[in-house]
Amino acid sequence: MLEAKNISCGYGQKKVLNDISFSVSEGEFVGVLGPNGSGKTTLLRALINTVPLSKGRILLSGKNIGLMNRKEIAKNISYVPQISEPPAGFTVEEIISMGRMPHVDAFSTYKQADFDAVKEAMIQARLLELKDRDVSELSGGEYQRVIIARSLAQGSKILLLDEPTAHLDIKYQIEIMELLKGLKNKTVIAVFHDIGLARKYCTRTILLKNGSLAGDGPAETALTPQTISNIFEISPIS
Amino acid sequence: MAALALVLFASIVLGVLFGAVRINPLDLNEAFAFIVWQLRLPRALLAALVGAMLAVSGAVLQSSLKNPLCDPYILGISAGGSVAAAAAIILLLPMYFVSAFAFLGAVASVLIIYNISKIGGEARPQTLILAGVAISSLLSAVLSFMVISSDRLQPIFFWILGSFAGAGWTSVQLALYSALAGIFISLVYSKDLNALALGDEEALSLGVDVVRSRNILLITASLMTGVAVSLCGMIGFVGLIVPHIMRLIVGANNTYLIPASALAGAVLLVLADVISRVIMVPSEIPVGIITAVLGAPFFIYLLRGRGPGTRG
Repeated sequence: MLEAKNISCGYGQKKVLNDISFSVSEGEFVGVLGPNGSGKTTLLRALINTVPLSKGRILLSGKNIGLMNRKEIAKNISYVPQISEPPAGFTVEEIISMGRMPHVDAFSTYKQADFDAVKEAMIQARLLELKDRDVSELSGGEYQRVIIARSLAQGSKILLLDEPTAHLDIKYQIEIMELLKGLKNKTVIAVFHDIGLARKYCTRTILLKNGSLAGDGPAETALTPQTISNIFEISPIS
Repeated sequence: MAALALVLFASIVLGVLFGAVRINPLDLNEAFAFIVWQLRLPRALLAALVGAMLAVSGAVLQSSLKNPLCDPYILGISAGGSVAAAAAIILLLPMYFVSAFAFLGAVASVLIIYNISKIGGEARPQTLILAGVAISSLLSAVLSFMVISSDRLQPIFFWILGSFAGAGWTSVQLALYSALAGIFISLVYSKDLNALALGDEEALSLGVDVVRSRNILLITASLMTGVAVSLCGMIGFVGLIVPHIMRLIVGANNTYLIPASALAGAVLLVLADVISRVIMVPSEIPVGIITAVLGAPFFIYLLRGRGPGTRG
């Protein structure tokens, strides 16, 4: 459903990703792992075409994503960036409603289908009782759930998440992982720092090192002590 | 919103009745009719339209550049418009040209400032403000030089202080067209503005063509600011303070924030203009002084009274 074919990209002169290929099929829960600076975030950006590719292409159900407009991409792929400062003055419901933007044009307003999608997303992320709260009053874990709910309201089949569990207590980490795991008919590609969480929840892991693919496969087999010590340059504790 | 509209109507009535000559609505004669139709009413309407345009420009700039410190004055848009308008006056061009020049000057300065701050990636808030301040002071110097070296000094001097003394029906007409166009475009793009307030990357992932939307919004804000500046000079503070006050009351959602800012900006400038006329009769003091004196304490009161983001 989402396919990267020999992609290379970077920022200006700086090359970040180097000749990466993989293909993700429907329903997979893919964890992207690798040390700092290995290109994990850049890989997600490349997949929604916010970083231009210098080589290769990305195919969404066989269509080149570089030739699609932003709305078309947004209808198919949603993106949850690394946790950011919540914008004061917006309610939980207003932020989640923004997920419906790809489905309405400038001159029209939200319709019943949009309200339904927003409500459904709030139920899934258990945010219904917080819907009128200002997002600047939420905890980090709550705001992260709001952004995930927005990506659910977006109605896309593919969810990309950049470190959705970073800076959260273990309780909220598990809460978010359970939420992601419980999604039906969604393909999830998420960057993780926590190898343990990724091993427990992901159906597949993609490992990056210095911008190149260093491993790809089911979590149990791809994440051996050997590969971990290799990629993260640590010696296993034994 | 209805309450604000009512307050606006009341302030315009006030603006018509008060001034150097007090109008008694029960005792109308020809002299009073002249004052009302040729002086007071166009002046009050112009103040309302300019207030609305400046406040909406401020709201648009703050959201689209993701920076709460933005307003047309700080970003040098007013100064760019003023310099161009002053040039048009020195060249003795008719009023529509003065406004057109001001608009182009405003667009040019916002594009220059935005592109300076974008060097090396996404526009950083601090760089944006610093570039704005730098360009703004450069342009102010140019403006001062023009005032000193031109013998048509008087009309340009009026730009720097900001005043509605030049109001007439032609300026009201011009302000009305650009206010309607500017506010309409801002409302059409209010959903995009909300997304831009989250940051470029999130806006892109929500399907917003960030560069195109932001350019349209910056040009719209420049249109409103440029016309406002060409008609009544540089009036600071309205564009910065009004959107903030309204955000504390109606929230940050631009679909509500833009109309609320338009109404509140209109009220603020009409009242400020009334005060500027009656406080030192028969002379007038620049309206910008009044907006600052009125706006700043009220803003501080709001900030202290409630946490940011709470609704009224």
